[in-house]
Amino acid sequence: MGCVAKKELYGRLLTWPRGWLEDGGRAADLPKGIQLLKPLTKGHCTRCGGTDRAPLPQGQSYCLDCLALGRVSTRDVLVTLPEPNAFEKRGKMIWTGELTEEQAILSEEMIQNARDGHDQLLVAVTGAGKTEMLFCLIDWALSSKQRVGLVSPRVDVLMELAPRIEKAFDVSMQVLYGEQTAPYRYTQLVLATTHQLLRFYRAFDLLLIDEVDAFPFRKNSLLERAVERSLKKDGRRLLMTATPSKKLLRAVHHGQLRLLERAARYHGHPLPEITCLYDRHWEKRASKVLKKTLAAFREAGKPFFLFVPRVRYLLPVLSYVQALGFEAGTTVHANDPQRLDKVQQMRAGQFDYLVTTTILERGVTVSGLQVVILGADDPTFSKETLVQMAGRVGRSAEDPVGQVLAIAAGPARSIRAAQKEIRMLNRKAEEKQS
Amino acid sequence: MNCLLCERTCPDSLSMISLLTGHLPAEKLVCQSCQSGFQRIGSVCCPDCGRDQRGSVKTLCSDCKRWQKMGLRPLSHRALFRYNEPMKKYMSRYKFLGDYRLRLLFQQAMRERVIKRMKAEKLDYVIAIPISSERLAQRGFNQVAPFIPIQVPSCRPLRLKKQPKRDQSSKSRKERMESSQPFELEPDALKVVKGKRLLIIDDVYTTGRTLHHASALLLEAGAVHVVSQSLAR
Repeated sequence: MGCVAKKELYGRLLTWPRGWLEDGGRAADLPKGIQLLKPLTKGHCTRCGGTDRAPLPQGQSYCLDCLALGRVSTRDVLVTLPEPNAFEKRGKMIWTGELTEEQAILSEEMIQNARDGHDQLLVAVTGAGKTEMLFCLIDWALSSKQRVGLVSPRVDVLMELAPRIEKAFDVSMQVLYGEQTAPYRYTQLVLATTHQLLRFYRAFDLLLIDEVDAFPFRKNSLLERAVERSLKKDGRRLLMTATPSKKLLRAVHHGQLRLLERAARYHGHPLPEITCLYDRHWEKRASKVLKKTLAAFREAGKPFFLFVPRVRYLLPVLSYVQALGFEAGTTVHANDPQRLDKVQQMRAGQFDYLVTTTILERGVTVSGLQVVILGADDPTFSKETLVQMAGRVGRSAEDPVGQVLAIAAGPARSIRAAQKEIRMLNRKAEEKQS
Repeated sequence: MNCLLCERTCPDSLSMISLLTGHLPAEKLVCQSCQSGFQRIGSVCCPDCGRDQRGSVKTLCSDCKRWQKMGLRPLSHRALFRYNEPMKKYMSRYKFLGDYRLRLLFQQAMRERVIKRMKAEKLDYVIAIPISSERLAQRGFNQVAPFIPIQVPSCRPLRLKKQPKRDQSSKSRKERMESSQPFELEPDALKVVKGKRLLIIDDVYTTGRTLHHASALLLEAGAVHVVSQSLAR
């Protein structure tokens, strides 16, 4: 372990027990140019910047904020090698799809901004074809020998992205996330969950962050610091979201971020609007309208998601939906070990529907999908969440319309705001087209 | 408050005393669902190794019969909990991730048990199973040390032999049974141990190989009686 290959240290931040450096043998074969960082600087953890600490015997201590990524204690040193951008030559971009005219303009603009060294914010509605717009930018960055990171706070989003990116580029790449078992390799393109950025140190020239408004990234200063630290000093970032927070818009206003907007979906059809109905007992039984709606979905042979606000509602809802004769369905939640498989199986047509919590609210594309949001007034469903859930519908060009039904116990501001936002975006898109 | 094991927020209400003193009782450190996963071993267990048994009669388990055949002195081992999935998870977070806070979860229960046994069995010293110096450097603590009560006399007659040793938990059962003596005596051990009754403490009793090695060495050094205690079995 003391003889970690040099490559594996480029731009990484690893934790070694201090003892490794002291006992003669290993100190000798340390790679040249290695940087050793103290684990604690002015009361802040050097890796994550957190201040929450717990004691160890003999006056030592360790950081609690980034404990999940392996312990950083005052008995350790953090080691890194400066990123040299020593990549092998790469082939051309394999992706040959075409962008619409508007997408192409935006994509050009993104490259220009990155070249000029600006941070940028891409606001594009759900289903605008964000990923495809990124391809040209990634290609530009890769061919100018930059190290590129594409991160998302959600594993599910990442898993959805990975195969598409892999097919598009002929370049060394890897996917990093918490439960993964494959060892780290040094690659030019890195796909990772945002937490994994804590293991990098001034590594990236370009960092693309998807779904910046999603939990856990939102209001999480730890991850914001992780982004800051994993970027090179002159590195640039591109933030992406469908539903920008006020804080981001303020940053745009202050000129810290360049704003790029895309209000229309790539196929030009409007976003599906949310229909809201009230039913106080939605967790106990299916209302007439719900029965009718589900029957209509079955008639049309369309898959659907039933969103519920909390894990404890999953089973009751599943059981009453199954009692209606919808057998091919299951539940998904964040701690479900098979969550990634279940979504795959749904796409393969093994399930007609999933009862899910907010974890599938974004990044998931299933063609022809319909959505029912149960308990839409629950505080766990924010405006952004509702807009995202509605955005699962009608994403493919062949099937661009669909239904979003929200059933709430009572009126809520978040629902009104989400409906308003969708209408506003649709109006914006229409104005641009005409 | 977040549960130390599953990291979810637990809705448990805090008592006024906890709020004022900042001291959390051990059962509040983890959430209800994590807490309920740990299974206490009752009084009906194998008399030699403390393995949990059903029914109402204590019988020697097959493992211990094998130890007897090998001519080893019984350990009268006792464990507080079963080594089930939640306990394995606890151990991996406490030992391998190194979250030292987790010692608090079972500290009191273990200390109480040790004190009780010291009195009941008239024991002289408590001994924590040592860990290698490399491991200690990496982990920063001996996982068993917090389980020794402050007020009872303890000593450290054992240390690990210097050898490239693999972690016990990465070995198969057969490999573990055949493993040779990993311990040696500290230079002044004979003086301390001679004629004494001892209690060895470990975190997990799996095959009993480690504890039997330690016990054999201590008996050889002149101890008259050696028994053992662990957190999990």
